[in-house]
Amino acid sequence: MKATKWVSTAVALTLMGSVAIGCAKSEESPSTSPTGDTKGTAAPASNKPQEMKINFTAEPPVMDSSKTTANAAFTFLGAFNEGLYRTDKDGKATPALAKDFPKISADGLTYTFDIRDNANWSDGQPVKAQDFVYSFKRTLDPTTKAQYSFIVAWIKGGEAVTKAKTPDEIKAAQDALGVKAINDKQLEVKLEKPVAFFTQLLAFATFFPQREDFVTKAGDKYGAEVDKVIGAGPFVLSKWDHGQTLELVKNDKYWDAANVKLTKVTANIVKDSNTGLNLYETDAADLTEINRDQLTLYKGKPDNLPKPELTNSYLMYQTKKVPALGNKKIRQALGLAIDRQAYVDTVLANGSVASTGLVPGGTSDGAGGDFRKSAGETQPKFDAAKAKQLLAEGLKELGLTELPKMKVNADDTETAKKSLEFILAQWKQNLGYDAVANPVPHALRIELSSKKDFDIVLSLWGADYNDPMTFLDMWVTGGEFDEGDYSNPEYDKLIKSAQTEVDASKRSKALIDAEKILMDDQGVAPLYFRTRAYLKKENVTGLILPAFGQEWELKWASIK
Amino acid sequence: MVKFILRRFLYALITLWLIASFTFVLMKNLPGNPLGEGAERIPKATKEMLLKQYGLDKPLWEQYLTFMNNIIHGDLGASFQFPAHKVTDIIKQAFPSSLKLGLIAIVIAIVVGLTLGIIAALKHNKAGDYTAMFIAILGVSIPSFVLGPLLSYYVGVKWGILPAGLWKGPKYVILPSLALSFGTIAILARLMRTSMLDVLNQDYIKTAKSKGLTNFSVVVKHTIRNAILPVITIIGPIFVNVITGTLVVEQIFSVPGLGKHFVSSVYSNDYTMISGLTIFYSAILILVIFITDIVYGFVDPRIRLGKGGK
Repeated sequence: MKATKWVSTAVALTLMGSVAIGCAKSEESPSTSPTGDTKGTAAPASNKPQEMKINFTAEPPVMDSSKTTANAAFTFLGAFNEGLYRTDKDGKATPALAKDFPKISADGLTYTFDIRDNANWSDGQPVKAQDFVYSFKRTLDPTTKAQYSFIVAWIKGGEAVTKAKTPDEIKAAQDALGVKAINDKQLEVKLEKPVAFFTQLLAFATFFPQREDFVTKAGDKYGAEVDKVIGAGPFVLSKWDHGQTLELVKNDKYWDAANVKLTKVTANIVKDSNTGLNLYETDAADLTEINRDQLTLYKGKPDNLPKPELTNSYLMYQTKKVPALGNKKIRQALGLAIDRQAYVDTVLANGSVASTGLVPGGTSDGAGGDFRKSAGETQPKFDAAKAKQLLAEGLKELGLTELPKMKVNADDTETAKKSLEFILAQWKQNLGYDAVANPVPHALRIELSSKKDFDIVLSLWGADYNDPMTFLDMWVTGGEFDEGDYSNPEYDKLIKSAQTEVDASKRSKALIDAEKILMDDQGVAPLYFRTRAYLKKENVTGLILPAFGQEWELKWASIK
Repeated sequence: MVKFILRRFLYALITLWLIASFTFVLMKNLPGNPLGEGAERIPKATKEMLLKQYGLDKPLWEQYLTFMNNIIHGDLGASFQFPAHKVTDIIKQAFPSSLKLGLIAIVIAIVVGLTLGIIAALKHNKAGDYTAMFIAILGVSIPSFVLGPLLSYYVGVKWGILPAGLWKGPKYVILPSLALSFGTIAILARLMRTSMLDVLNQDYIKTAKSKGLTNFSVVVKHTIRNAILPVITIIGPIFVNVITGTLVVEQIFSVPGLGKHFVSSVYSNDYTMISGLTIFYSAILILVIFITDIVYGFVDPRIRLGKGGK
């Protein structure tokens, strides 16, 4: 009993003590509170401090341009580093670390680049051609395990490097790689076959330069901490509190520093969109992404900023394992029976656009135009009566009286589940067909798709580069991502010809013809081109929300 | 007593081993692979190479042995989502925020909860009792995922008194701590009230009163000190609940804690992170139970005189 009392007294004392400490702490609060973030918002408008605060939804996993695949990392890489070219507000490559556009040989295989004399790393060292050579070789090196190495492998001998097994083989393949520094400021790249969009591609972070001395010194931690990243871009990464805040400050050693207005950018990691909106409302953020329900509150307001993306959503059919889906008329019927305009208006309501083909609007056609405009509407329009007729014809061809029960896989997110509901309701209403919804976790959907273990799957694909090829080469027979086993020899021929065609307009025509075939076959059924919704304070100008790769581009942004 | 402690320690180790093993089995049954964002577009050859790097191409028993061996050596492995970071580093980095939030929440819960409980008991069946219990019922009924956004919106946006989110200094701690402590306040208030009423009806309280002791003295020295004992019993587990249950509140107020890693690791099949966090949280819970057992061993010798105790 004695001990009990002793313990209870001790606990009571501890409690009182902790309360006292708690009180003392909260009393201290005002004086110890950092003023940094409030300063920015409270500053008088006349001062116009060139500082911006952004809500950012994800922590960049690693900021190593060879290894990363995440938009979050690409966004920051684009801020503190850059490539030979940088994508401007129109989505076009403009000379960045390269002085001008490349000299391209007549066969479209050899590119020569001159690097700017005043291109510097943020520590003042000059950017050299060797930094690009090192970067490309490192990305291709199989020991780096770069997931985007396939893009760099278009350089002559690139694939051989990725497939090399031993260190000697790797070294030999790297030495034979078609990239060399003619001198410190001149770079030459030879391609395996013509890549019409190669200049454009060089603005993508995977092609950014890397400093061998820096990468070697940082070792395994390269790209993982604030002092383990370096760049030659408009900003310097000055702070990285994991899970919390990333901070960029202007890079005075940047070749185009005179045109960079922002002096500081703070990106706070805010995953919850309601919190994001609350922070925006209290001026703790100048830019935030919002969801569909929040968008309705801001419709028509000036701070509403849509971000159209080079991302499409589509239904993919397993044409081999499910005989019914091997029938063109049945696929056409399923595609025609969905009213896409009603879908984007009611289910998404975020500015996404009903698809009119496979390739999203805004994608370059490789010949100076917009692919979607050049190709026109290749996807058959919603037509319930025709859909019903095609279904009947298709069933007759197969000797069936009705469609078998098929499962439609999708992610188990709210949007995906609502999408499933809508699509299935459309089929029921317009075709009298009951399909089965099968929402599963994202990882499972990917696994089932890669094993071709599905009937129909609702999927999304985002561009790796701004060219229709990123959407179209997936569907060639036996292609790595042709999980629906779609096959059409005519289509394959057109894609293959576009892969080697040097003449831009001929290439563009081949791609348009290929899309027409794919849409007529309904090898896949596109649904919409995704748009995301952002809110931006009106005094922020020049901010670009790129259609792919990065979340935002800050170089030309300023505060009015 | 030494034997008692050793036996408890052994039980703790066995429990931890069982939890680690179960976690291993469960996470191996998670669908999908752990290659993270963009995994759908990784060429097959690269995918195989990455799985090989993480040893996921080996037989399950071999993976299990490596997994257990690493744990014994305190190595929870590298995260799949954040390949340049070890799970232990991520825990070191994120846990202090969760712990700080949890500690403040528990202090608030203890102070407010016990006070409400005491008031309710002393004002039994009177207005004070009803008010305190009304607050307690509210606390139980309103989950933190409702209270959090309400606090963030009204206190943060509408009234502009405190920051609506983020984690940058003392004033940023208040709203998430309140949101997190509300449910615990209710539990403690109700428990303290019951316990106090129980003690107040004991003979020794009547004796104390009849001896002419002041009301204050009876309440503080005799009632609270005795009534608080059952409350202490649950403070350990509640503490663990609070620090591990910060996930929703962390998300709502953008607190850079460990909770978000738990969810994102499950969604992305980040095996090392899932197992690392489960083991870490289990270890905390087991440690708290272990300490509670030891304290009880001291307090009540009958407990350690159980099987084999001397």
